[in-house]
Amino acid sequence: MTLGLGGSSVVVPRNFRLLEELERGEKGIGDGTVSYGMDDGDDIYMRSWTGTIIGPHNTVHEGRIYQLKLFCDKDYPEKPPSVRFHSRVNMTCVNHETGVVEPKKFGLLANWQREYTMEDILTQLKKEMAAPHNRKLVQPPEGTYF
Amino acid sequence: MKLTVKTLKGSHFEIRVQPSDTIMAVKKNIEDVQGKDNYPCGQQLLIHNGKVLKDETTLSDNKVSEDGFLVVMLSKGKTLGSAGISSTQFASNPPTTVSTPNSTPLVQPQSANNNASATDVTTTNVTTNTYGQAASNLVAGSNLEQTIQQLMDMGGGSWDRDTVTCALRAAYNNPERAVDYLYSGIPVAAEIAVPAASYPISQTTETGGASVGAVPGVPNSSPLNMFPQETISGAGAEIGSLDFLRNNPQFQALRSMVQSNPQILQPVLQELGKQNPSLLTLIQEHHAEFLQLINEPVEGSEGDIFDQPEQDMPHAINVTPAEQEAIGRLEAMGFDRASVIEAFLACDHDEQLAANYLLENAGDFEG
Repeated sequence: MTLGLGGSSVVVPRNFRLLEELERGEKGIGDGTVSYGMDDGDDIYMRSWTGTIIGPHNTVHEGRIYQLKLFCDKDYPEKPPSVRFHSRVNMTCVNHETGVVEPKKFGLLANWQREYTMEDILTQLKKEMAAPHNRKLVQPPEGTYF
Repeated sequence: MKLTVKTLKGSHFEIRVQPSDTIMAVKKNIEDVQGKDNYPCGQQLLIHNGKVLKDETTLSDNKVSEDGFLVVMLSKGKTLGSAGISSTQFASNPPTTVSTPNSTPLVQPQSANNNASATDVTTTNVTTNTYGQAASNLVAGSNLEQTIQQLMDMGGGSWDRDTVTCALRAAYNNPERAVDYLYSGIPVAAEIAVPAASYPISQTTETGGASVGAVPGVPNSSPLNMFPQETISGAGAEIGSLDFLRNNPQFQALRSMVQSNPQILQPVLQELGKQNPSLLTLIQEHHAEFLQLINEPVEGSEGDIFDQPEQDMPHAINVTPAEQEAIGRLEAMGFDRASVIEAFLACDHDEQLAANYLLENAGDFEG
């Protein structure tokens, strides 16, 4: 661990930080409408993660489950993870061909801060689904994947 | 071992399981604990650590440990099986000739010497057209009558004939979808009349090639082909773009229906696959373009509750003294109160984020 100036702030190393996130994911987040966990328990670098978002009420996404892949590279959390929808979805910030969440179009990734977590990303994506510009967009058939 | 199961209603409950139990067994366990009406195992989806668990895997396969937790949700689809009727009853292909009931003759053919009386009741055999061959699970004629009866029996008396007929009409005579509508409610959009196809489906009778019209009172006796094969044989299709759909009246009708009831898109595309496979292939190849086309605003369309201006939905928002101070500080940065409150709420009461948001979008707020 490295102490900040005057011993006031502590920069948590990548692995400790990811272990914290893993533990939080296993305990369960909020109401259960977003969840995440590691893809491969044997990956000592803890790079590949899977997330799910349950579509918010009163939107076209209601009752749907969206599966995502998150990839935390070696420079996480200084740099944001790459986020890609596995389930097909029609959202303004998601590339229609690849399912990648485009950082320029998604505020949390565009203005990334190291305090942000994968939970924040999933929660914010869920809010984005309920935003006026996304809540009514016609969606691809359920059960189709990028 | 003990597992906590969270529901999307915010409640949770515990179940006792073994690590070797399959996910299907866990679903049955939940069904037993919570009741078949609340959580039928066929509709359950279990989520653990961001993964949707597959029925045939076990808890240990999915690394679900002692005192772990699962999230349970119900999928929207209501299966025919759960209603006590086999879906195969509807899937069988209808005979190649459809006999209409005697009480409602479709055509009264004139004999060669033209002396047949107008009151003659004739049973006419209608030869199937390409549409009839493709839409194998759509019903007509005596099959229709039989299906209406089946659906009424299935409802155990809770659905009257009119309701069933209405559901079938909305489902374009697809019984499986009609069952869905009867359970979940007939979409308003489906009851809107769709403009007649510019390529009418001619049904030729054995007797003299007379064209058969729709029978009043019978839902979709001659169902509408929304995208006849001919419509995509033009140059547009060869170029490989979907632009030719933009001015197609059938597509425009479909678009307005889908925009008012997005759930209808999937069944419509399935039906399209039967009627016109080449168009469906084209849509799949240009998926993004199709979504763009279908999301284009319909001329003269009215917004729904999501689009209503704020003043139509008055609401009061309570803020704590600390939040009040934060709003004051943001106002002091030179933004008007309305913009500050909007940004503050949009950023989930986070002052830092709201400040960033206001600064980034400063141009939008300047009157």
